[in-house]
Amino acid sequence: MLVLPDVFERTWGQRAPLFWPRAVKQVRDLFPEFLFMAEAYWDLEWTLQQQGFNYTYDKRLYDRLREQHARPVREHLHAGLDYQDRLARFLEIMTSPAPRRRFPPKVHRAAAVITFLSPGLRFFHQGQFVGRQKRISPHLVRGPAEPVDADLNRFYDQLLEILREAAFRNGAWAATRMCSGLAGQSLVRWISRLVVAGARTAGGSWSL
Amino acid sequence: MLDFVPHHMGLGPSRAQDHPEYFIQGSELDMARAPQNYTWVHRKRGDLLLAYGPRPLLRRLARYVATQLRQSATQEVMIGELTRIAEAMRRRSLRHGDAGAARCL
Repeated sequence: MLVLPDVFERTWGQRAPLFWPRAVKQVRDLFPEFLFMAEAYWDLEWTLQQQGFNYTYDKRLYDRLREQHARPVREHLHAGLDYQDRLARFLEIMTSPAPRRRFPPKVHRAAAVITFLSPGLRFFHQGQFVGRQKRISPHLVRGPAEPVDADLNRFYDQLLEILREAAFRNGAWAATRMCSGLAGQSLVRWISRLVVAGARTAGGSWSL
Repeated sequence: MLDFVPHHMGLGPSRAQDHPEYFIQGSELDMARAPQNYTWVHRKRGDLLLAYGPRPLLRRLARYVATQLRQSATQEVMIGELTRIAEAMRRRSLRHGDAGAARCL
């Protein structure tokens, strides 16, 4: 991202030639199985996909889930599949804040269902399945022993089991719309599987 | 999985000596305006003023300086590095199977 010509010019006042298309091609010619994933922000996901990256971070979905408003999340899931199929979707990354500050438990589950049952690359963080709370520097390569969050662990066991189903691995995905019930909330469906995610707020309305 | 950032790199002992063109250089004026963003590197063939990378925290750990990607030679060096990484990862993957790569669902 920092070496994209526009970003480089904004940073240094100098224009650099394109780097990634050349780099990706040269590496891929020799190692076709090598995958490129960009830690992308600032609305540069599509640009980086066009420059050869197999996947780009989907920080936007993560941010919208954290805000806990359903509509922006739904709108994001209506983007073209040529774009969504190449998004790496996550609830934790190394730069995100400690898990407890990110999502309350019920919202965490709804957010996980939306994140990992949507198109794209499912990107899980080390310790996510057992609810680790300490942020570990990737340079440290070790961390303190922490208690396992048994409820969360069971939830992820179920989620992973579901993700092994053929429909979620090879099926076609589509956003759909409810006619009644959840006030016209649009939901998502895979062929033969319907995914519904929500968390009831204190006031009784559905937020996420 | 490996985090590759071609925009800046740790300043090795010989890189700035042999290849100052790989790095973004500042002027005395730049240093006067934003001294926190530049560092002097002493060389036999004249001192260089180089721009730090964008992460202030890393500057405390090591001298992370910005690479001059306007130069084709710098781009080639970075692509060479990436190619070596890809080769090493393939060797590792062949040796360890899936254990050496990220688990995919």
